[in-house]
Amino acid sequence: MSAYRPLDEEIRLLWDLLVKMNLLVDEQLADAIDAVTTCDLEKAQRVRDRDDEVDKLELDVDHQCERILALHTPVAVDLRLILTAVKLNTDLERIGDHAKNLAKLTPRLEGCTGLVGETRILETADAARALLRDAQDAFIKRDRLLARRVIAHDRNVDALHRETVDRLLELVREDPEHAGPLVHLVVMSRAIERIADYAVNIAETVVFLIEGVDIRHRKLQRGPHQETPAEEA
Amino acid sequence: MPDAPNPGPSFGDLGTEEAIREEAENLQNAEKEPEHLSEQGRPTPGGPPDRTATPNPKIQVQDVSFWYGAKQVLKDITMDVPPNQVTAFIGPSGCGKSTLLRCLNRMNELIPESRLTGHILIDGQDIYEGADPVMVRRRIGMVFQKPNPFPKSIYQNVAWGAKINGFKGNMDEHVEHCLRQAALWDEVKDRLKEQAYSLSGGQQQRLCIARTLAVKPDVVLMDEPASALDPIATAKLEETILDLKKVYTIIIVTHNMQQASRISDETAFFYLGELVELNKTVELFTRPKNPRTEDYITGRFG
Repeated sequence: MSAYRPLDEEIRLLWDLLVKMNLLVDEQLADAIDAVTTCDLEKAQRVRDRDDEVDKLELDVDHQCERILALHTPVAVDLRLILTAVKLNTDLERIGDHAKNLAKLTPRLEGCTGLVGETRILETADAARALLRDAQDAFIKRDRLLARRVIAHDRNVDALHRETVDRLLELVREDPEHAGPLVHLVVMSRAIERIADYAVNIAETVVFLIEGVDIRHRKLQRGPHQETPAEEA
Repeated sequence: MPDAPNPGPSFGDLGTEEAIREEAENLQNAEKEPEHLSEQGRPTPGGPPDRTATPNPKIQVQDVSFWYGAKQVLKDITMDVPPNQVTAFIGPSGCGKSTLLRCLNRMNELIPESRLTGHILIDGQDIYEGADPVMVRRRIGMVFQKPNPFPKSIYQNVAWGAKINGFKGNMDEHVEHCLRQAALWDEVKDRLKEQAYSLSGGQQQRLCIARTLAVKPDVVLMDEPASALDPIATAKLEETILDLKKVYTIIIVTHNMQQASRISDETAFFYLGELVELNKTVELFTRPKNPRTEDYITGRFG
């Protein structure tokens, strides 16, 4: 029961933009992590420069969504795809911003790269990037089980981030004179932890796209009488 | 420089007991298929339409089949229509939606060689067995696709039906009341003696609604009432419909799916004489249960 729909062509255009944006943001994150790891200032600068490309794609995706909503009034699965695109777009752009921030902070680590090895930052970054790639894969392949796995694994990134913060606090206590770079490392670890959160947002949106079920904020959806004690912020 | 970094637990071992429990629960939920989904996340085909009983249905359609000669155009339709709501019937041409609408006020039995099986109940009473068709049609009014006022004055269009049905009261007040309910009064109050044909299409359609209301029906059936109207007249008509449902039960047949989604509380999708899905309108247009519904509302029907 398939018929030609002008909407399909518009959705194909939107899809191409989203695939492009996924690839670009993944590249930006990979380069940013690489720049931090090797203290490669040139690469860091490239990440900062390419952030405009991410922003440009964000505008293009939003315009295409607006166009589809105005001209084709999609419903059901088509409507869910447009809502998904709008949310994914915002989340990817934020991840791009965090990658840019990692790149921006890279020069501040010059001369103290050994400090990074003291923390769990690189593992956190790898784990966050793995989550992002899985979330993106789940979207492209419409794999709802993979999306749900991403949501489950975010806890690991949170735990790594907490370890890093604890370790950095220890280091500050040991050597208060060199607190400057340590603060930058906290900011970096936090940025990476946020990236993982955005990957989870993407995964939740993918579940909504495929299953039509909103799994965000389940505490609220269960109703107040079943509310469990607040989890960590 | 501090000591060598602590290798720490491996990636998979991290997390508190609570986190692990939640993760397990999360994955378990993930393996569980949502009711209406197959492995690919597609709604499963077939399955009976949602027949959850309405607590106090205004209309009950029970196993209704209908034939024009040898051709069966309705197949075993069972559904409840709740009171004081707008129910929309949608589906491609020839799906049986208008036929069912006409069965609800016994208009189809005027067609030779037509045959109906099953039962249709209004307020629990069968409208076929032992019922007078004239009484049925008085209780269940109908508004048609093309406005069809009588070639009389605006006033007479509304008063006439009431008069022949033995209305004994202040006719002026009654006409005003009906025209107000149909959201036409302000536009015609100074020209009640004028010919109904002097009105615009949208006004004529609202006059036909006022005429229908004049015999005090419980249910108003509308067969594509806005298809001949421009967007402004359509908006006015839709506003009128939303107002009317406070008093009447309304069923509307429409090809305009946005109209169905704008004004109806429940929507029934028909295809090839079958009721494929009956659902809350917001559910049907966001998470249809049946893939045929999804194909139709998204325009994938070929």
